[in-house]
Amino acid sequence: MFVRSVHNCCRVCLKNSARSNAFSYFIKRLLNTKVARKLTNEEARHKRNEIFNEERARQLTFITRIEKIQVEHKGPPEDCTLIMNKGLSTPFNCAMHIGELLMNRSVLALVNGKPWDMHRPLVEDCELKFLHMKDENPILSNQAFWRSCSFILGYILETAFKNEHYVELCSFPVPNVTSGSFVYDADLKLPDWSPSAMELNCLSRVGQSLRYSDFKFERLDIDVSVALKMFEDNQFKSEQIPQIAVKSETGSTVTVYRMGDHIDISRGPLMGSTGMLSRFNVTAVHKIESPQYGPLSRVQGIAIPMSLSLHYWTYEFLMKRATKLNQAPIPTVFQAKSRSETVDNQGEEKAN
Amino acid sequence: MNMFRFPVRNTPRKLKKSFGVGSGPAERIKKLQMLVTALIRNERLEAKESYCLETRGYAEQLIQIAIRNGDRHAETMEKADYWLLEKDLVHKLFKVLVPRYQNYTTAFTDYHFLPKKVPGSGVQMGILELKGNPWPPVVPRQRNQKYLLTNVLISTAKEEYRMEKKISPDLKNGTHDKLNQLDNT
Amino acid sequence: MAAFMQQVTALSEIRLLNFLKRTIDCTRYISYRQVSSSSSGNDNRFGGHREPLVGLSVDGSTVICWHPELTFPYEHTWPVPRYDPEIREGDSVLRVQLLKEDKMKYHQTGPTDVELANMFFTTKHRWYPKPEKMYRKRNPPKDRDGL
Repeated sequence: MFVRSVHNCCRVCLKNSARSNAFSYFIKRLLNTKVARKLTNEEARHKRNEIFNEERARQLTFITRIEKIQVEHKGPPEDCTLIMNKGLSTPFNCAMHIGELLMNRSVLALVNGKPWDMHRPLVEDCELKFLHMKDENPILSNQAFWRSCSFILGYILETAFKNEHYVELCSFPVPNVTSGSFVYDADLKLPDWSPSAMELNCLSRVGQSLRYSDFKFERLDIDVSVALKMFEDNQFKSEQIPQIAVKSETGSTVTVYRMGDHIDISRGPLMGSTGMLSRFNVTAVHKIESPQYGPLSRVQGIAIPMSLSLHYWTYEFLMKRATKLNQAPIPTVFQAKSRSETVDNQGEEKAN
Repeated sequence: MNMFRFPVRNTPRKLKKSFGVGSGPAERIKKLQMLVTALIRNERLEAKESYCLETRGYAEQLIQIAIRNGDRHAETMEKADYWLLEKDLVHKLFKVLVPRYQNYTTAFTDYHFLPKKVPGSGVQMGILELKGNPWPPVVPRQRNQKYLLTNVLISTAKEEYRMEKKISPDLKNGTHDKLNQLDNT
Repeated sequence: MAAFMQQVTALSEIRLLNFLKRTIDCTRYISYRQVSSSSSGNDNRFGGHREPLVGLSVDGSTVICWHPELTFPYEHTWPVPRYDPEIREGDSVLRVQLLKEDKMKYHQTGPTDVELANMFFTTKHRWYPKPEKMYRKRNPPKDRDGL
């Protein structure tokens, strides 16, 4: 007991002295919010999961009785009408009724023309279509896949490092397949570290093992206050959450995704599950400097889905390209006052 | 156009044991009659490669002479009667298929190889079909694969590689103003 | 350090002996029955009395045996490996589990016959697989009321 408290004291003292300037800077910015600093990523993750489970259970209680909705499926293998449960059935459930082909190959669903996650509950009578990686126009599927891979990078960064290294994820930019890599910007707090080939392999293997774990991407829309509580130990997310909420439809909701144990904020639809991954590689870690957030690390990777095949030589050629610094915009703080004034935080969405 | 649109074999293909052990040339002809009948009826046939390719010659010739001679020609009617075991198909031949293939310059049938089943006997199967049939196509139509994820990654990587190759020889020489010339071209 | 450890062990032994003296009823047995495998007598190889003691508890319900730890000199010891030198745990920032998985990525089915032979100082022959074990007739215990 004595030893432990002494250890904690030493830790706290060291932290203050090394980051005193940055620490005071953030104190000024976050006067009203309490930053409860968790020492390990594991503890933070555990806490986030608890809040997520509570919130999901609470949202389920709003569905007192099961109402039916009519879902019209258009497209192969057949056009059909399904009667599903409102607020409970997901496009994946519809695919289960129709056929295994749709279950296995679908990345996204289009509900009334709007991109929709595979495991997000349907809310009203709608027209349903499924998108897969080999469509004639796979732009939405590609973006969803790339976005999910960035999300997975965040998971890797939070879980792969030793407990004594606390990693704070910052954000990831709009997915851009033409750049050749997906990106996650984070504060690794390791200014002198550049990964060796073996370490990059280890990080990649974490991503590759997700294919066998086959985690679903569960979506949840939460209020700003709940989101702030969830991410109170991440200074970057705490700043971004109010701005993200302002841009949302209701003005105060934040969409949060869970994959296994890992929870993170993301705007758009992600793919159905990690079983779609075939090859996954973390290719590089570059140092970038954000004017607001300070020194960050840009972690880059490349991945291929199961449905598409690629020769290993070509893949390694693409990996080499993915080691070059991705030119996506550096994360900045943008004050969006209302939804009408929204300009995308990280630049305009590029059509791939 | 009196020329045959399809190269028909001179020598008959041996269809061994087409009616079990001991079946010879007579049984071969019986089998081919059945196959030609089935082809004209269903317009698509899935069978062993040798059977398909042999019926192809007979079916093509049958339709060819029907086009050439019409349905008042006695010899043609006899042949149609002999080869088509179901007699309503004679009507179909002259009234449906002849108008369809009247102006064709190519052969009237298509043959597609099927993949060999593994494990299996190793026999090569195939699909024989009449052109213009109402079924969905055997070979799926060519799809535009330009925007698949892998193809997007490869094309952009290729562009970048070519740009670098263009620029790098000039850089080696040390004449950086040549980069401007690249932009103009 | 070594001397300190010896003192600690000596203290704990004294406490044990006292406990035993209280629990074991000496009137029932005049002396403890000494169980010893060595013929040379009471001493262990490195000196000191290290005989196991056997006796009965006061109420006679429990047989108590005391097998003390054999002492050995500090010079005969090696340090506990804290960092696997092959994967150089201390150097990397990533979890040790990941480094170990990376090291074993081409050995996921386990060591080869030759490696096992070297490890256990045998020949490679006893490590050959025995597939006939798979085809043996199984004889699981049946559920029944009695013999």
